[in-house]
Amino acid sequence: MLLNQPAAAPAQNRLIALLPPADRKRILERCERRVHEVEEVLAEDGKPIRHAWFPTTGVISQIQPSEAGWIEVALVGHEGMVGVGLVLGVSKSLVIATIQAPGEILHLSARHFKAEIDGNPAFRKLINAYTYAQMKQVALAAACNRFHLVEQRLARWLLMASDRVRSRRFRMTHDVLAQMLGVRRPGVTSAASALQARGLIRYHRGVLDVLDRPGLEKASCECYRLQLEAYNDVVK
Amino acid sequence: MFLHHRNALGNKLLAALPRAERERLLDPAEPVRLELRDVVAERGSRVTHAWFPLTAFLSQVVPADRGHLEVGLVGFEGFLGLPLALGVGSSRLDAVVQGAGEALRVPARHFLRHLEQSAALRRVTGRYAHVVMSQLTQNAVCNRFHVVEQRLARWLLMSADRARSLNFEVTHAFLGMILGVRRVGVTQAARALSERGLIEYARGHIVIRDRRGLQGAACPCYRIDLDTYRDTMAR
Repeated sequence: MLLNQPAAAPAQNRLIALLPPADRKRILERCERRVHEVEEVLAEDGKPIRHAWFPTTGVISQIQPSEAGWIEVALVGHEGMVGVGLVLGVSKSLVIATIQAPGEILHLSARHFKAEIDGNPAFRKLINAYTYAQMKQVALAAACNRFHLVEQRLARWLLMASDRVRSRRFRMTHDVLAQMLGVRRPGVTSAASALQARGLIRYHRGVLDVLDRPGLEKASCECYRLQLEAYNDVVK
Repeated sequence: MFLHHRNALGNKLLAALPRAERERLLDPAEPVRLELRDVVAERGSRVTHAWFPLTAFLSQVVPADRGHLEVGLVGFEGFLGLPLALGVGSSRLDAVVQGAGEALRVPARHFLRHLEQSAALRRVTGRYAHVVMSQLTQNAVCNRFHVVEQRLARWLLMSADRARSLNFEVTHAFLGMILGVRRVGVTQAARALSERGLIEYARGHIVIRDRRGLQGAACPCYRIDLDTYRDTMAR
């Protein structure tokens, strides 16, 4: 549950912003702009994907459910999109997509999205590349969940969240963090206390402040950096 | 060339292409023998070929503190070359041969040209990309929540499917790396499975004695992967 700061200029989605002006204009005209509240569910595992979702200020968690517990596999904000199954020719969602930070998300209907993918090579190329970056994010999550300490994983998550809300301050509960990281709440509490004792963050009454960003990057596992590198390498 | 085409049906993605398109795709293909531990793709390096395993199978691994962790397994049911299919020049994952055997490899440039022209190839590779994405998300859950014994049972089943055999070679040290656990953890899990009469394991040689029982011992991820593959590729 992240709290967004109001943006000075109209916020954009980076994937759409990277398109040539004519393509961008057409796609934006076809998008419906909607503001979402925390915990709204956009897609469910095994259910049809009705839209491609391009966040501008909102943030979406993609969560893999299982009989043993749930875990976040990707966090998506203005740098990306949710619904990559559509570009792969699949119309069912693999995961649960839920709103992590309230804000605006552009909805492009599955029909319009597919028409663009088929008829617009620049768009197809960009979305394909982003799909690969998202695969890398999920692959990293698989390893990260196995090996890295809760404190490192929490630092990573806070950095990713901060990037996506474009702010060093956001609202957050330990319960949600525990669910995203797939750990018990006391594990999150002690990891957060450790980061706070090192002066990297402050957590008070449900509001989290990143106090020392370079320090938090050092406290994070390398997955944060690897993911950024993979994204920057392929999404241009 | 005729030899390639007949062998090519051993790969399910190639077999799913219309014959004429398969033959065009494979025109410059070469058969390659892959040996255990060969590294076929390295993180950050340019992708030079699309690989279609026939009898070989490969692990896709990400680096981790204690070596590598497997995030995907690719055999005759799939192909290695998603960066190409998604228009990305270099791979972000390493691929290491897990089961020695044959593969067909197609030069990257030819694969890309064919991808532009063939809706069937785009369809098959796109859907397979979805299968891989599903395997990755499943692994994120599996690595976090499932115990070593379940994960070992799953991995043995996945490998047996791809080796098309109930016995194959694999060392403890290697299994430890693949599953991201200490060697002693693998030893205990393997002993538990063999005490239940599901496998025999001696000197690096695995024999699956009771496949159905092993399925019961595996986490649900094994079944979920199979269902996803069937549902996704069939349509």
